[in-house]
Amino acid sequence: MIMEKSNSAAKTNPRPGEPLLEINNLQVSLPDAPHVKPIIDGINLRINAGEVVALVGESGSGKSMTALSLMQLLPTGLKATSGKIIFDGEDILAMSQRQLNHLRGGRIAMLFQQPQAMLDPTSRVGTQVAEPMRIHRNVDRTAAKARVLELLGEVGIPDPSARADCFSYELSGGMAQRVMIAAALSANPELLIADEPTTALDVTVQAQILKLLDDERRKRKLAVLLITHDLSIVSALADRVAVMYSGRIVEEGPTQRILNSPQHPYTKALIQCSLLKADKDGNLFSIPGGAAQARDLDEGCRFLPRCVTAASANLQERCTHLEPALDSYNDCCKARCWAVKPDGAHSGAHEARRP
Amino acid sequence: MTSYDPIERNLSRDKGTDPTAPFVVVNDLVKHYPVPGFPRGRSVKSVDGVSFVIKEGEVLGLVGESGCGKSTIARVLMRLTPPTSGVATVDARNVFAMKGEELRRMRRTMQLVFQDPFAALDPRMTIGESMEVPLAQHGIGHARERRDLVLRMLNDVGLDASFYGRYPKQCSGGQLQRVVIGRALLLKPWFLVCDEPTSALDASMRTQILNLLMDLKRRFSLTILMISHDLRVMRYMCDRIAVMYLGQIVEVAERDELFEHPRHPYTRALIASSMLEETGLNSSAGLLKGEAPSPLNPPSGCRFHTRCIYARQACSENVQDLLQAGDGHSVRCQFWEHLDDVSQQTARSGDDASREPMARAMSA
Repeated sequence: MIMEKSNSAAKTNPRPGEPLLEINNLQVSLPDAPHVKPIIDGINLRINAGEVVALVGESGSGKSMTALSLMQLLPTGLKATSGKIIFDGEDILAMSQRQLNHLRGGRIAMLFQQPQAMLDPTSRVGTQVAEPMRIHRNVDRTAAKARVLELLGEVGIPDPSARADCFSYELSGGMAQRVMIAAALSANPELLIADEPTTALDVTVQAQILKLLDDERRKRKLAVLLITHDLSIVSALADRVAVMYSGRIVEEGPTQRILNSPQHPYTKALIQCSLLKADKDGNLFSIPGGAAQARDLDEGCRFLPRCVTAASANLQERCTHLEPALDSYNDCCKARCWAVKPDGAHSGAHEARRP
Repeated sequence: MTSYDPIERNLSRDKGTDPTAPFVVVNDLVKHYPVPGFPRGRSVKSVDGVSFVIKEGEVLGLVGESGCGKSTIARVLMRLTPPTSGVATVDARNVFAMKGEELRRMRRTMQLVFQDPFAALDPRMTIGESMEVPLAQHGIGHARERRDLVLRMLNDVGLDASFYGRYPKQCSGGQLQRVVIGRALLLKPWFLVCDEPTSALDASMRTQILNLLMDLKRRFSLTILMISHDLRVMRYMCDRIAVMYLGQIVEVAERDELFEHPRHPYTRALIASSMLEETGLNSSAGLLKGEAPSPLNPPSGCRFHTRCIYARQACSENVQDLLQAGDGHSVRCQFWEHLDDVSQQTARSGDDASREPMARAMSA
């Protein structure tokens, strides 16, 4: 393929199973507003080459901000204030603008929730799909053109040569997301960040797009960071899952293990919510309160105001004052809960932050 | 109803109405949007001959992909846009024939809950002001009474009095959806149309709002038309479900019947796609080809034939009517009885040769 000869990095790339990306104790906060608590507070996450890791949680839990900090695309005012993001041996947070440009779209590609909003309305679809390979892989115009048609065909766009001359507004939502996938794959990246890639699409199209993503990542041995709030997507696509709550990871492990036997009360609640099965009184299970409450807490577990386990396990006292650390509870899963691991360590982050 | 209520709830109810007759009857509803710049007659066939009934106190679900005409039905029923043709009666009154004062009174009995609560509220008005507008519009109470009504309704939808003075930007999506539902119920309607009330919300907020809707339905004895593309929401909320495709209803059945014995190939694909954790990616993605065609130029014959994996020659030629597939179960597919034979044969013959035996079974 055209990619390989121009991609000198290909030889040293991590092989499947080896760590490709490691987030170490990442903290994202607003440096100009010191009284506002960090948006992301000490996240550790590893993605191996060729692995699909899902990040789930409610809106406001910091999933998307985690993804944006990987690309150093955080909104103005937000800054990664501590921690490291190691991608293939190098810290993204310490990279120069030039190195970042090399990374973005080249070795790390991103899919967004609103495909039509992310495509440039003034340039043709073909040009946009060709751009990453033209910039990052030095593919010449003619070769790029042929490769674009090949890619568009691969992502299931009928009549690629006609579609390549379209503008984004001429495409349906599903088609636009296919084009986005083609553009993301164009420079043969190693990591794909998919931020709610199917939320704006119909369920029927969603299944098709997820199938396409799954096929492509297997074919290309692509690592994927999948961000979603839909657990059925997670179960269909992800190898591992990390559950986020209020800027922290509260549970992490292999998808089937976590979905079948969740340990953290929040994960349990989230799974029950998404099943939408009524109890004998005809009521749906719902998590009391809202996620915003967690931001007001100064100490203790952030999920405590909405937690049903704490009261029944007689842990109220401990949960109010000490926040548990994210601790392994078996060979492959971790959870941040006193009820799961009563003798575990506590996280000192709250204390450190207090004035 | 509670005694504080200055609104006479029975205002809209004809004492002489037969209580067993369906509360909402929609008959052959058509809505075509003309396309500017095209020759006469060219139009988007958004809703093309839709009929359904809703019994009093029933929740009817309307599912389908975007662009199939679900929301148009809601807008037409609410008289927000005029129908091209067709008849709709609510409580034995013809909705489309109403004018002036009669229409204004009728609007009190039918309310709409929109999908996006941020767009449904004026960002420059407080929640309280927004909620009082419909009361003032219908001349209910004095300022202080209206304020009391709004505060009571905020309590009913699970919000505290502090929300009265807040602006929409100070609230979360779930809270605003509660406000919008409360505003719709302030006029004590009989008939509520919910247009995707939970699709803008998180999983945890979604269950809270659905619980609230069901609770309010019981307390206010509402008849609901629930519009959604999420079959899991439908399964919880609805008594009966109608599946729409390109402006037509392709299947109607009681909830359990629809989920246990879906007859139309499109319904089967929809169910498989929304229950990914049970069906897996491969089976659900394989049930449907391509994307929905444009309602500007719907396919000939059966409108679904371009995407149907069971389709054959006859499907593109014969226009299909709704057929009876059981008690209260209708389906718009001429081969609905044979779909099961086909899938059994396919299972036996393996996946690779799936198209051949399917065609054979169809022609048998």
